[in-house]
Amino acid sequence: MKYAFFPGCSLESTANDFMVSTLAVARALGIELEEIPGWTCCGSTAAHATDALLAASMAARNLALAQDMGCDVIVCCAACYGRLAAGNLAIAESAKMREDVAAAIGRDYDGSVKVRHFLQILKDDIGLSEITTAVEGETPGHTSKGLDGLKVACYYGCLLTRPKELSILDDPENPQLMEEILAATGAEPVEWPYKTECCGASFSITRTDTVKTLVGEILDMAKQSGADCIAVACPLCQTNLDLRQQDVEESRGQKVDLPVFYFTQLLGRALGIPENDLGISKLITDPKRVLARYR
Amino acid sequence: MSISGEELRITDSSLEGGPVGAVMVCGGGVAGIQAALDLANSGFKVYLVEKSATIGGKMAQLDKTFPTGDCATCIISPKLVECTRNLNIEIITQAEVEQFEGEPGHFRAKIREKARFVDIDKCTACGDCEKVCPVKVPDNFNRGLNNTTAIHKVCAQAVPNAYVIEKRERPPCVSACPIGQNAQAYVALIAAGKFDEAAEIIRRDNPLPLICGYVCHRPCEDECQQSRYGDPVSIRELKKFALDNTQGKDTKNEDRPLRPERIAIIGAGPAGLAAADWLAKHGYPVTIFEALPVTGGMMRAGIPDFRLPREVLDRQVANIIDQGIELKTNSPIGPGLTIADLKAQGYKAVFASVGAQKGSKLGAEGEDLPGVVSGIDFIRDVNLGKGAQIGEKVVVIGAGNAAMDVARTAKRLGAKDVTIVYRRTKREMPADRVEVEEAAHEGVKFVLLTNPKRFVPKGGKLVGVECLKMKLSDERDASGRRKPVPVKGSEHIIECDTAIVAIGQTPDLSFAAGLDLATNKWGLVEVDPITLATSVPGVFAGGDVVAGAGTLSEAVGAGIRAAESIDRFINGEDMSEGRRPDDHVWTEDQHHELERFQRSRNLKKSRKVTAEKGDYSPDEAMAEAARCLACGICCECMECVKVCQPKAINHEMKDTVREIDVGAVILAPGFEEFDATGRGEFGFGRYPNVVTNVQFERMLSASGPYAGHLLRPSDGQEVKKLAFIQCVGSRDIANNRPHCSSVCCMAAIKESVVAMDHTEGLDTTIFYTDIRAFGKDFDRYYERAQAQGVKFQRSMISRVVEVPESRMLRLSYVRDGKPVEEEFDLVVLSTGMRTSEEALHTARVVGVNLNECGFCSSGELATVQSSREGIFVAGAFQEPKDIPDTVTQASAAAAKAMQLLAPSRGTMVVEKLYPTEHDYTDAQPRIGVFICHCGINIASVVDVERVVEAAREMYGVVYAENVVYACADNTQDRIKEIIREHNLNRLLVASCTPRTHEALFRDTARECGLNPFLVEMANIRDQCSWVHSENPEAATEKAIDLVRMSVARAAQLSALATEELPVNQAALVIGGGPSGISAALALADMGFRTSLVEKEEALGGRMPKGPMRDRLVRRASNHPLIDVYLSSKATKLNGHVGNFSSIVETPTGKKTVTHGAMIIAIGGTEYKPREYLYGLNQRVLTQRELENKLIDGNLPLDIGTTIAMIQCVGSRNSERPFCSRSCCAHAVKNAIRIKEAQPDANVVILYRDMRTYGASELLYQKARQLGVLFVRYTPEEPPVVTGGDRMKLTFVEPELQRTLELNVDYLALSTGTAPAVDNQQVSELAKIPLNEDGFFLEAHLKLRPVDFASEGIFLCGSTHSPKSTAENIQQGLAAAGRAATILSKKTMIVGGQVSCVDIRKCVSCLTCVRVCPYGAPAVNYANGKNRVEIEAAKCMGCGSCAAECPAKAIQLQHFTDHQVAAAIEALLAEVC
Repeated sequence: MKYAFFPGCSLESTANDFMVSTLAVARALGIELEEIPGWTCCGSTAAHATDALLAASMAARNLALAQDMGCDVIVCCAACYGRLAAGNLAIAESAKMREDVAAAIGRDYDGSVKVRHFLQILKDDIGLSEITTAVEGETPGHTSKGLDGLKVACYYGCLLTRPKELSILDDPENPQLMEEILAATGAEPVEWPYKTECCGASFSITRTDTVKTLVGEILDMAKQSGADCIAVACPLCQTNLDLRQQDVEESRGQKVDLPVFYFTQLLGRALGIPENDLGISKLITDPKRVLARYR
Repeated sequence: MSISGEELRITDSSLEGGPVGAVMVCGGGVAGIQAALDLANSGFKVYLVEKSATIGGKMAQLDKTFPTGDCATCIISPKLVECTRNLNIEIITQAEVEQFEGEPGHFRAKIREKARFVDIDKCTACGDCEKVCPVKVPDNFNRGLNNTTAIHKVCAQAVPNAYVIEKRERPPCVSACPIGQNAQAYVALIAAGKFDEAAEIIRRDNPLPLICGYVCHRPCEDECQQSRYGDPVSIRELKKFALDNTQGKDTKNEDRPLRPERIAIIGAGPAGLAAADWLAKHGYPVTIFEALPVTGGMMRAGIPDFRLPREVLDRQVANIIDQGIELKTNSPIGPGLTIADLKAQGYKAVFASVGAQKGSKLGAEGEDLPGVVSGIDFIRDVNLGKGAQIGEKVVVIGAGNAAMDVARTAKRLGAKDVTIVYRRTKREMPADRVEVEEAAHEGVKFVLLTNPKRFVPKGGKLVGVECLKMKLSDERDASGRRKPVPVKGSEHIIECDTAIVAIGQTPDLSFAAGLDLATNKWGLVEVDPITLATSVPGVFAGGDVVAGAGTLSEAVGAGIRAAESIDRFINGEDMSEGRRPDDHVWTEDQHHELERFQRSRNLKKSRKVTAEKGDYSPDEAMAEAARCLACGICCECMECVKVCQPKAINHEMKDTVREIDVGAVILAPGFEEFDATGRGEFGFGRYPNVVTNVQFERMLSASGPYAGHLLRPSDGQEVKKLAFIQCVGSRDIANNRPHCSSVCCMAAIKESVVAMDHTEGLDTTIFYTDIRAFGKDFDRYYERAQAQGVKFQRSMISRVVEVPESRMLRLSYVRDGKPVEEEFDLVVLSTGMRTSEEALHTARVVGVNLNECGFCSSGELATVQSSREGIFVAGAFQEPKDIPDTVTQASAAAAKAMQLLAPSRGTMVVEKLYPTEHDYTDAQPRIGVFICHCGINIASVVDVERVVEAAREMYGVVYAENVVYACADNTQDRIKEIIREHNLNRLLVASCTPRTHEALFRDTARECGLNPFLVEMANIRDQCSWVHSENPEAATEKAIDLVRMSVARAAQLSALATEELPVNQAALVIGGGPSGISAALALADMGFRTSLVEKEEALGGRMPKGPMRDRLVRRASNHPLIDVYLSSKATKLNGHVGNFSSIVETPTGKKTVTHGAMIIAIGGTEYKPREYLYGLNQRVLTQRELENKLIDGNLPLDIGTTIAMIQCVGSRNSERPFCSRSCCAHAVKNAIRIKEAQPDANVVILYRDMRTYGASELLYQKARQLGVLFVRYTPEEPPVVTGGDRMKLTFVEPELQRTLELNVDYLALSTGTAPAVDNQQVSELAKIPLNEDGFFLEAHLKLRPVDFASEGIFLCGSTHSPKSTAENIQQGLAAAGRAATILSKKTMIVGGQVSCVDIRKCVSCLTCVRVCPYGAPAVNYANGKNRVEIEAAKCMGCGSCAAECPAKAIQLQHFTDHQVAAAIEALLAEVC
């Protein structure tokens, strides 16, 4: 299965581990990712807050390129997903917007390219039982242990859950998508109330004190819920929860010690992909203790 | 109650051409019940169409009702019973309207009544069925807080008092089974520990059950819905468990009918054996011809013994053969002995089930080499002990179960190295995953994505297999799997000395020698998919010979199918009729529907239970079976049928469709609570301790799932902190529920107060936006709740967080300006009202419009009128409302229907006639005693026969016997027979409660000419067997005592006379406002002469000016049946219900008016304010004055004109502690008027709580959208107004805690309604009570909102409590509807169980006069002695007077002192 892959800037830089693990998992599951040639910024900057046309145009430019490839767009970064899907919606809903966007990007784009998150592809196109089969291995009698019994708190944050029209989830209040996928690897996702809590990403630089409080509460709740680690699907969530964990620990004077994985890293691990190919060494909070069980 | 035709009398013949004198009431909730009773009691036939299995609606689910704290069930149950007893109400449950047509007066409705599977007439509600039902499903009546059984009674007080079976379609596991095994049933029975019964079910349909328990390919588990949430239920394991753990024997049909037609079966494999079994059981002589020396076919030849033990196989085959089947082994059918020969020998039909014995060829080079063998030949040789040659290195080609068997067998035979070569990947392998893993576990190697190209010889011997590497392409093959394609140049050789090709089998068709048998391109026999008939008549085929390499269960299924066809063929019947092709797979739609159903049950993931060692232990099996989701709900295990003694259960019951003709329709389908998962942020369905208000009512209820204990669902711990979140699914635009649900505020307050009674020290907080306590006495209740410690926190809660481990629920809100986090044990969501799917369906079918909130649209002032003429609406379907408003509207809708159908009153009703009563006044008592078993309810505890023996010895008893069900139809006949035969003059039934059954036995007595008061009941069930089940001996003694007491009392009973009095079919209405006029018009339209007395000079009262008022006044003034008395007053009232006489003082003198009923509609008065400069400043107006100015255009509105309004002026204060109900909506309407006239005018409304209930919430929203400002104030800091033309309004905003100032041009005061000044005078005139606020006090705040305790007098309008014009009109109609129940009768019955005064003992102390709630006793100045007499027409038989009378002068008939004393003496006789 071939998809037009939109990596976005985070996956090219700070979230490089998300990128490599995505590519590795895709390879292992026979998902063909073809990067959109000449892709540009999704508009997840100040654009969407200041200029609706600019925001829609930035998304449309990329989607128009993908349209030429004739397949669905696959996105990993939650912010990119949100912007591209929102751009599609804006164009599909308004003929005027479509016209204006066409003028801005120099070609007509009808808003019809399907923008899908990698999580959706895994569940809907690959299928949970297929993932289980892949985790168990191709050879009968040599079933891999996968991530049997790993207690993971799946964390979605805001961009994948809101607004409702763009959400990739059945139930934005209590999503189950990441849980289902990781459960297919033998992990045991915990049920916890802070799956869609705000991690404070938009104040990441301006109000670190606020972010620290928010991150602290999320980590606390994950811990209380019995999680060994956290799984995320957004570069900003990952950065905040992982990078600020030390700050939280320092100000509280106690260890939190919750590795924060991209779901692709856990999935890749379950599929038996070497850690080096999953960028696991990039994580700040040391995952060794958690992963040791699965060697 | 059944009534035979000749006992019925139609009171009038149908009028030619007139409207139909019958009404269809849709909905059996409190609204439907009230409307039905009013109509039936006024001479109309009623069809009460209810969607569920019981009437009672939502009210039956409530615990208590406010403000009186009555038990909801206790007050509604009598009404339910009254409905069933009314001969003119036909209750149709589980029904919906399918088609509807016609015009007012002449409608025709098609009604579908869903199959109940229980015959209501036969069911005695004994509950024996429920005890044996193995299927546990969430109890919807308790909203899933507990489980009930598939056969159940909706609730204890269900009416009709009968059970119902809940069914869905055949569950997917059963549909998937080629044999049609009822997997859900045997799994359910195992879960219930009934292993024998489970085995019985398995064996019933399956001739080879245990073999299936070992080797079935389990299509049922593939379809199991549990696999969507976790592992499928281990159905095959459970089947094996049940068969291994049963004491029972395989069933044999001993007394089968014998048939002469012989049948030949070719092949003793699973299909042949199954067919033989079926045919033998149906009496056919069967001969099996088997080519091999042994039976079992592929089961023996193809399946290794390590998978299927041979003793199991032998036993199962013997079971079949032992039925007298002739078995001929070593008898191949073919050229030697053809099918034609068989026919010539007299066989009438042949079933060919020869299987597929030839191994399919790979078609590769070298396949003929020695060392290359076919899998089937190899395994057959091994299994039949012929010995097979196996080398050291073995390659097996193929990946089905046969390949696994071959590989494992090869391994066991000593091959060192066994490799399976397969061209696809593991996930495409057709073999059962368990088999694959077993093979791998035993050391079989797998080489995947590899395809053999040729077999490599060396020296004439096999040395290897040359293979090609494969890869999966995107292309799909016919089976939907990805097609493997070879990788170029990947040839390689796998060394081996033996290669076994196990890629499939083909049949050997030599059996068909000489026959022209149609086959297909794969060499398989072609058959009709339904009948399995071949192209040759009389020859049938099934199993592998048709399907290729199929499965065991498919073969068994085919055998059974073919056998049934053969039976039909021989009987000359149509072989296909009523049968479906062997289509096991569910459609997407079916799956989708089932998934929706299962999702609604909030299922959790579940892992399967694995056996600790080998097979399941009973506990493990039961735990595993309990994981079944019961997709079909009822599993049709027939356990209920076995125990039902009255034979009331019929699983074959079908839906029935009937057509009814009605003149009018009342829609009262009620509401459904908002689905709280729609507000996901509150975690309903996710957090167990978040419940809805309906669930909470059930939790509080003593008959609920927690027996009234307030416990957390998560862990059963007592709730200590409780929170209510209001407006869940109300006032919620995002969820498309913009309306206010009107009742939730009071419901939450009541639930808090009741909960505090349940748990001492309970901490309760209600989080609300406005407290809408707008009804009669509501504010007082609200204040009392505050005083009792219920905390009210104005806050919109944004979400609920469940704390892990403790499962406490954390809420965040702002209190006193500061953010607070607080944890609660339980959060109750006050879910709002919405229209149910069923109601929407009904609305569509009958063709009425809905409004923007999804409720039935109705007239602005004619609230009961739907958009279609002749169809009226009542209850929450019109607009959310509470019980009194619902009951009121129901009576109003009934009145409208009566108006429409007046000419046909009495044309469709029946009346029961009884024989003349015998006079037994001086006869010795001859008592007949019937002791009821109540199935096993009584008899399993009480020794009924001993009670009968004892009863026979008692004084006065001439006959005694025990009966299984005293209430059953045939028992009634028997009782009548005995009464006549033994000339009985007293009837005593010792059974259950008189509450439900006394009327039945009285009726039976009357049919034998016995006075109904000569019947007595002893309750030996509820008060004996049920409560003493652990002590049968003592219970039997007690039952004897109870019977002895009742016998003694029965001996003392006397016949009571009743008297028929004529009814004056005229009415008097006092008060000519909107409610009074509406009442008078309704009555007059019904044909009753009505006097309308108004003290003012004109009719109209406080009704706003306008065309509606003019129309009403004009109609009332001109109506030929209405006598209007203006400037008049009623000054004297005499008489009683049916016969009143009043003096009316008119300007032309006193007039006497006689009437049978009276309606008080004297309205209220507007409070004239003294505060806020009213009367001192011209620019301070009342809301009504402002309205008049706006209507007349007298208010100058410029840009910037500022108009302020102050709410609750003269309401909700110490002087008038009640809400005036209509002022908030009134203010909002005026504000909208202003904004629409001048958008740039400013409107500020100062309020305490905005009480825009129901649809008027939409006006509140509209006003805010138009820019009207709403600012709250508290009564502690009321606004202050000063100044002249430009006034200054100063007020404190309570959230900001800041004083604000506003310059205003006009100030409108929303002044309240006060009781009418005449209330006191009318109260004295009619001897009817007022409440402490000075409004009239109705008979019952909930269920009799327009009645007085004194019969024949009704009330309506603001004299009851403040309300809007529309509500006043509606209540006027309701009063008319209620009055019609009296006026419609020419005569009324009085007497019977009433109190009587012995005037020789009476000292006229007036105790009884004061104590009687009905005003029945009065001093009779005419009896010469000025003693008290009791008016029989007014007496309700409550006995209060008899109990209180100090002189013991009063006796309540039927409960006289000596009757009660006789019972007590009988009890104490032995002690004293």
